[in-house]
Amino acid sequence: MIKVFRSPGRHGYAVEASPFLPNRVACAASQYYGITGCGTLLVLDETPRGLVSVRSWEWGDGLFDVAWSEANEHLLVAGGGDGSLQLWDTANQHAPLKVAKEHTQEVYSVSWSQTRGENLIVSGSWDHTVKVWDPSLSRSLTTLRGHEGVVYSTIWSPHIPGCIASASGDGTLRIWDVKAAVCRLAVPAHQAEILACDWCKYDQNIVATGSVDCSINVWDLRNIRQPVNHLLGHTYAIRRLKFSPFSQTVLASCSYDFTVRFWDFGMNPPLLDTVEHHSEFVCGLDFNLHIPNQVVDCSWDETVKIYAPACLSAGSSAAQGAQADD
Amino acid sequence: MYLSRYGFLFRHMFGQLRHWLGPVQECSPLGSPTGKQKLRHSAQIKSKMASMLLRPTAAASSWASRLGARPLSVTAPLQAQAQTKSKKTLARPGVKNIVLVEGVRTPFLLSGTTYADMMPHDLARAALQGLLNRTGIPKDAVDYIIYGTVIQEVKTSNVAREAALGAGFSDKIPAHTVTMACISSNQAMTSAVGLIAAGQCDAVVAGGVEFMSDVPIRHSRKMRKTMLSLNKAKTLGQRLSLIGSIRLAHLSPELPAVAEFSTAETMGHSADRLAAAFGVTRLEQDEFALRSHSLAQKAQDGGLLEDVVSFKVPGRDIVSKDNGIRPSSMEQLGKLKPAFIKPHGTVTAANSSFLTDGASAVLIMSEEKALAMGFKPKAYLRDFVYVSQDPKDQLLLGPTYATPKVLERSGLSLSDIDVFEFHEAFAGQIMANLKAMDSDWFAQTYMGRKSKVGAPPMEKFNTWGGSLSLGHPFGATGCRLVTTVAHRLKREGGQYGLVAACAAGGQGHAMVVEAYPQ
Repeated sequence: MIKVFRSPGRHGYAVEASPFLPNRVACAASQYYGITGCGTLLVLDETPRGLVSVRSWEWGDGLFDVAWSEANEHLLVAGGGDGSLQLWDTANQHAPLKVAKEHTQEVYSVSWSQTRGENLIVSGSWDHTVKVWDPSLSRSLTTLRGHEGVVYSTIWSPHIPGCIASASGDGTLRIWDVKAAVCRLAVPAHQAEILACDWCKYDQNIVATGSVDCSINVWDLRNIRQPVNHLLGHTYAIRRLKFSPFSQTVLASCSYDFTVRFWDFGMNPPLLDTVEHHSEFVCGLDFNLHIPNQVVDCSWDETVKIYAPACLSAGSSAAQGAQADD
Repeated sequence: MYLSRYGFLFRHMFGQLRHWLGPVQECSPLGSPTGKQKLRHSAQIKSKMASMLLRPTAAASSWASRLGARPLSVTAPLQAQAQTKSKKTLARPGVKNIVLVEGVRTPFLLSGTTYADMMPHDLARAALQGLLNRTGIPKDAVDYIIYGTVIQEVKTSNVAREAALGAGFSDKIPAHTVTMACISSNQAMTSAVGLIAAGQCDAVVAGGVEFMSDVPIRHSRKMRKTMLSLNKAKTLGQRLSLIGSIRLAHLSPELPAVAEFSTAETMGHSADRLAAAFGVTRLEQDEFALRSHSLAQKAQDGGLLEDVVSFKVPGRDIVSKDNGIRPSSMEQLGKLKPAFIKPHGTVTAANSSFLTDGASAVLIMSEEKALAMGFKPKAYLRDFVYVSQDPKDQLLLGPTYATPKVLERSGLSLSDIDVFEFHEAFAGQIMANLKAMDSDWFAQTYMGRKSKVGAPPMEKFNTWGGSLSLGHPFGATGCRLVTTVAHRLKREGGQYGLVAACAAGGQGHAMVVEAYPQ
């Protein structure tokens, strides 16, 4: 049963499911496919009548990524094409609480820290830098330099405090230590640009990267000479990757080939299912933290869809049975 | 900004765009063809090498004392030579001291390998960025930038300017490009010295670049003429008649060749004739080539090649080492057929320098400016000469003519020089130059000198490899030679170094470099 939300004239770039409310998702969308024009930030609630927009804000440039706050159920941060980060509050209809403009080029990725010890935001931008901010977005705390290409994706580690993974157009995956503001590891993960990366929620050493060469590499950071797994199946570049919050080896990837694929790299063959319900590039993807196996995705065909793919429900019982204690 | 967003999508969809290059001439692999040359007995080889080492020079005594006194500390050899040195320093009163602050180069790679998809200004920019990183000099502190290159990419004829802009130098810094065949970067450096000596600049970046993986292949002259006339044609009738005049013969391209324009002779052919004229045997050339490759391998493994900066090739790996060094064995070298004069020539692919891509850059300043900015210079750039001779029969004898001239100008003798770095275009060319330098008859007949200048002793000569093994990107070699001299003087504790090179067109260059007191 797929629930659909249509946003005419606005092409979705990112979705994230709220960590506090099981039926709420945020979607960052841009006009004219993000090439030019303005952007919209939508907060959607899943109701028995379908997906309903409860808040929507306009921004002067396209919005490329959104992240919910882990501390406050009303706050979200979005990154825009003018290089700014905005802090929005669902209690305030009109304007962002704070706008921070330090990046000199498009902000393509924002992430809120997942570990309980700190509360920080990281942004990755096309100006080759990664910036760490405090939750009030007053001033960037650190700027991490080292990438030689545009930064496409920055994600906090859910296990290791102060640890960020970033994926870049120079083909490297870098792991940063925020306290020392240095790059601890630079993995030449792909020969082409890497658009997506994500940490495994159950194993602190596993990171997956998805690249323009249509493949996903799963890396164990203790041995980066070769990937643990190399997942092939997509026919175009992989735009976003997310590890399942319910299973150690399950991940989902969405791609420019209009599909979302689900993988379980503990099984052979790893591809569980291919979901082809969009008619344009699928850019945003997230798992719902509260409802097992519910997935939300958004695409340039102006839709946001929430669904529970059969492969995950079928596999979950087997995975839970086979899962070793962690 | 919007175009860049569209461009990103394009990159995501289609990976990186690849340039469609045809295969470029590469160094032929060692081994396989059956050669007519037979192996000499190893004892004969050893005796030959021993005789080369013990070649009598004017300074046999100082050579022997140096060999015996190869010390652990640096100061001892300087003291041992203080008596034989004719000069403590080449500084002259009233003349500015000009110093080499730093020299870097990109790894020199065989043409058609990892650099194949780049353009020459990309390599030059990488060298400039490496220089900026190593020195930390602010980007507007440089007064001028000069680059040397030989095979020009037509779109970037002032490659110095394009590379400087790309490297982030202030756009207020003027830049120009020079060409003088293999000594182009030497010319860039001496132009820099000239600007500083004339007091017009204080800090100049000089360098050289060569990119042989992509060469300017032109339409034939007839085709070019037709195309240019088509541009000017006004009426349809004129255009149709021009297009109708194109024949199949118009379509054959004009390929650039490494040949002298005045004599239409390829340089390898000239080198073979030179080797024959001086009686340089195939064996001597192979031995020298083996020596060059072995010493280069040792230097690379020992971390002595400190001027190399690693650099990430867009779309490919990070390159940190020269990839042309291939020490093999006399048997393998002996198996090769001659490359230029067949079947009885002596110059083969293995004892010639190979087609290489690479770039180099040096920072040259007046001594006061360098010290004021807090730099520690590596060497003084002292006297230099350019020489010119017959491009037909003396094409590659530049070092022979230039060395005595520069020694005379600086008031030194060959024995005062501690480090020699000669450009190795061909092993036969080096051996011929050494024989010419050691010949009284040649000196008297051709150079009008009373006696020979003497050949440099082999243990001071190109001890970290040379152009044969490290590679010879034509325009970039000069900076590598000077930087290597500076580094070798520092490591080996010498005072004076001599750089010499020959160049196409029958020209040559030599420069005396003095170590900076530590």
